[in-house]
Amino acid sequence: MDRITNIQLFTLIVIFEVGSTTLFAIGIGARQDAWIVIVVAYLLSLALIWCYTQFPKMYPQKDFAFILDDLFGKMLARPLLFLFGLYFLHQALHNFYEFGSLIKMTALPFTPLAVILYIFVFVIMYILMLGMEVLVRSIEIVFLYFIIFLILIFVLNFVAEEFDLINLLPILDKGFGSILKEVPSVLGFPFGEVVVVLVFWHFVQQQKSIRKTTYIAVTFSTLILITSVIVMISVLGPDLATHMEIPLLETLLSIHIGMIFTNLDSMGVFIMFVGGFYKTAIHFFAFSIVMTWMVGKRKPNWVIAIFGLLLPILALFQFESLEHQRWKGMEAGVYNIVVYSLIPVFLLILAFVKKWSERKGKKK
Amino acid sequence: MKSEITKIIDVLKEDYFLAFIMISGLIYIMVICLFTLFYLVKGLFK
Repeated sequence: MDRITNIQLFTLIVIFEVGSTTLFAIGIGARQDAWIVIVVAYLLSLALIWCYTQFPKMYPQKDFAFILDDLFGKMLARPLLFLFGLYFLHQALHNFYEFGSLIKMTALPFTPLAVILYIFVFVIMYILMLGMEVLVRSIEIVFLYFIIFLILIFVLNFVAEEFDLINLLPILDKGFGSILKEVPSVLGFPFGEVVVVLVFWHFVQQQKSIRKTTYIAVTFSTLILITSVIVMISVLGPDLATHMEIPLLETLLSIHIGMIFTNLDSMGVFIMFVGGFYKTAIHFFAFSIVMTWMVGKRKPNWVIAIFGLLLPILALFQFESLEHQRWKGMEAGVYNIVVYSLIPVFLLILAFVKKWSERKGKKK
Repeated sequence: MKSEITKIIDVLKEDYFLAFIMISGLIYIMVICLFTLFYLVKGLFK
């Protein structure tokens, strides 16, 4: 069986978390206090992560299908597994369409979207068919460039003329109300999306350090997200950051340092492509694994092949345009993530109560 | 100003796939709660 190390798990979570979120000014509904929304959502997400990482402690080396079977029995576990599969597919479709559209908009405006999506999916299928180890090793390779480019973007923005921290003031001018209103959606996207790693826990070599690695990865991702939002608001101001389709790209286009560092949008396109690619790949792989468990097979290659070829068609059916996709994602999609990120919490409570009930029975 | 729930319903009316996943997820949360309650009662009366 494929095995992944802690460092690979760390890179996987960071790329997954940061993946598409640098494109959005997340929590921007709270305007200049968006960074406070991220901090609050992060603190709440620590509890979620504790719940997710409790499963490998209670069921070391066991996969998610086994855990559900143990809690419910096969009759009720299989439909839930199927629902998780559909949820992962739905998320994969969102990311897939969004990044296909963004690539078309920024880098390949004259190429039909279907062509971009098919080229995109062929690479995803190729990597996923080689297995989990290849997926995480490829992430490990790209990770360094991804982070260096992001840090470079932040540093260049800091020294650019347009950067003004005054845009972050006044802090809390509308009180905590606007922040609390934004927290559920940010808790869902991106923090709740980490629920996908439940499917990958059994791949991790050192099960004991899963919790520590996940906490470090999510904290690191949060720091990147906060910096990203601060940069967006400081450069564009809260009004522009709210209305821009891709705020990060706009901040990049505003950088003109000595007329040497200009037209840095290529770095933004790289970040967009890497983030979108792996976010789609991870969701799609989770879907493939879950469907493989459903039918009791061992290798997910057949699911990857069949649904991989269908993925662009499904994405084009599902969404009419990028605005349509964002409308669905932002108005209801984030709450769907919240629902699925909370299911493991309820499952964990069930696991505790079931164990307690069994222990009590044995004592008597 | 539309409320959050109205906005969600508007999307769900158009996206049956999302509606199915979301509503089934909520139903499953209830099933899990029922199971928890069952084991809780079972444990208490043992």
